[in-house]
Amino acid sequence: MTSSGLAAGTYGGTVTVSDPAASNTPQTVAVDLTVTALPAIGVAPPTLTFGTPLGTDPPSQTITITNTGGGTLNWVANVNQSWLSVSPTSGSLGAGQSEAVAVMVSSANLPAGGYAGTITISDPGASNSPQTVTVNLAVFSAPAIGVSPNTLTFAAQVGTDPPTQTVTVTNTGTNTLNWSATVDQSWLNASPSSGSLTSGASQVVTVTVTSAGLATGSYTGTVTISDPAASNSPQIVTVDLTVSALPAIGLSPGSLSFNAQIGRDPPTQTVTVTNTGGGTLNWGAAVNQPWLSVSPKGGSLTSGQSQAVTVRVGSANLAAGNYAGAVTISDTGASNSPQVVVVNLAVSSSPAIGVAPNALTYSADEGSDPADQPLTVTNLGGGTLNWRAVTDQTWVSLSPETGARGAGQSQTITVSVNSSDLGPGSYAATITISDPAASNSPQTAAVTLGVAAALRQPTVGEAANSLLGPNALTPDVVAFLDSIGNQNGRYDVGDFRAYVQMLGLLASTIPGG
Amino acid sequence: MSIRSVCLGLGRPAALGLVILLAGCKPTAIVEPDTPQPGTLTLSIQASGGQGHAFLIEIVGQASSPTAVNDSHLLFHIATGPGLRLILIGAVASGPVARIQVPDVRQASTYTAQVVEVADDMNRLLSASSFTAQIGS
Repeated sequence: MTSSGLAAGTYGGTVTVSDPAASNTPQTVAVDLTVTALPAIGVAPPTLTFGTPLGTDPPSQTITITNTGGGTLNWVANVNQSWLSVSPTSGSLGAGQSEAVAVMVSSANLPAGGYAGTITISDPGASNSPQTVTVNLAVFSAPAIGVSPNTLTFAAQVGTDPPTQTVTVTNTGTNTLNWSATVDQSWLNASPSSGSLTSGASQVVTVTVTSAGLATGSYTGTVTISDPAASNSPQIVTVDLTVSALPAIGLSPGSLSFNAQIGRDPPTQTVTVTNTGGGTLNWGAAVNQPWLSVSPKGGSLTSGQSQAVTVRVGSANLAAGNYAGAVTISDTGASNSPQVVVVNLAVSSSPAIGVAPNALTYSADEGSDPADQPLTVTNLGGGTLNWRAVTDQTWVSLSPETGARGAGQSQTITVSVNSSDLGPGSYAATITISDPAASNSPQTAAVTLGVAAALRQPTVGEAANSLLGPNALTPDVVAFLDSIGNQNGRYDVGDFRAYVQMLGLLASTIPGG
Repeated sequence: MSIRSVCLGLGRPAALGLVILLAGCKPTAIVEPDTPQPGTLTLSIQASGGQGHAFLIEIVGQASSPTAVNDSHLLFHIATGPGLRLILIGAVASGPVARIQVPDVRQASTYTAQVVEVADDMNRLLSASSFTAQIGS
């Protein structure tokens, strides 16, 4: 049988055997022949083209291998360039079956330029082996986006806009970077919004935050710098914004009253400045009268912080009368600026009572009186101070009880305490110094008295018995007896003799025991 | 019948009572030699140095009712189990300082006395060993 010239298909034939002499001639034999096709490699597309910026790898592409013949196609794929690869590299396909093969290009390390490679699909049993796919690669120069910084942080007080900030866009690649900037928040703006940069060139982009309409809180937005032709597009700048409450001025007290005697300055007073809002209160103080001054004249307070401001009145050169002034605390950034402390000053020519000290403290043993103490009365004002001193307790006595002093003059009162009739305990009294004409009448001085229980001295018999026998004295009595005797730390016959002397018994006759 | 024989016939308690009843008449003539002779003994102090001005003295022996020899001296005492403790306040160099009542003066030699503490005129303690105390008739 000769089938090599036959196309694929099914063939039938008959073999006839005959002999005319035979009784059953002719006889026939049927012959069936099937001619099958060889496997054949089908591959598409025949050409692949890759293009990628310098320093990058392009996305992979695919080719499809099909057994366009018969039988089984056992294909193998080979590449002829190191930057070219396929996956899988081999396979088997029945007649009519197909398989996708990924084609990858590793061009990141290739210099700019054009490259060509070939993928060869082969099967020795295929009728058309090998088949090839041409791979063209273009590595081209591209711009790249450089942005610095990548994050911007804004802080603003409610109702205000923070200062603008900038980012720098740089073309860190090759060719021209045609960048554009977009923002994702209505309160965010970047200007300019686009530009072109040659390789290595930079451009400043101003980022503006409009927070005046925003409530207190934290916000985040982005500025996106992009160029489709850039190798690293897009690049994103994160913008963080914190909107805080405005500072507010708190003052306490809201007014001050000074009372001065003519020719003298009154004591200073203080006002407390507090930031009762948010943010930072940068306050400044101003006065509207030459006789008025403050210290310090300004400061910075974070939310909740306070600071004392000393208010001083220089009234020494002022005539008698009433004066008014103001201390103004302001901060243009505060929600309630300015705030005012009213200062009232009364300069008087009347006398004023000064008492020193304001408290006298006495201590005495039971049955005894403490030493006298002085109390000084001074006319702190003008004119004549006609003072009178009284006490509310009979155990306090004053000498003198009245007096007259000119401006700046002083007088001493001797304050005596008679505690001999008082039992142990604490006592209090008040000395009142008054002059109806004085501007500050009355003034008082407190008197406190502590009376300690007296040591109970032993009888001479008790003292003797303690030395003679077991009748012990209390430790405080022993200490007392030793203290009046030889002070040797114990009670002995020398101490007893001293005690007898103290009692005045030494010269008299005392019957024994 | 002599008192002595009465005492013997009455036994010791009765005889002692009789002795007391008759003591004001002529005691030395009627007391038996072994009968206790209540009376007074004298406490004396001897100083090896200067004067003492206050003394704490311990007497061992049955005694009572001490009195100062010098009226200007002060004397305090308590009875103790074995005798007396005395405080004598007064300047003493040497000599008798007090008299004590004892139940039997013939037992004087059995009494002992010791200066426990002594102080000078500034009430400072002196060395007690510089002073000795004695009980005698």
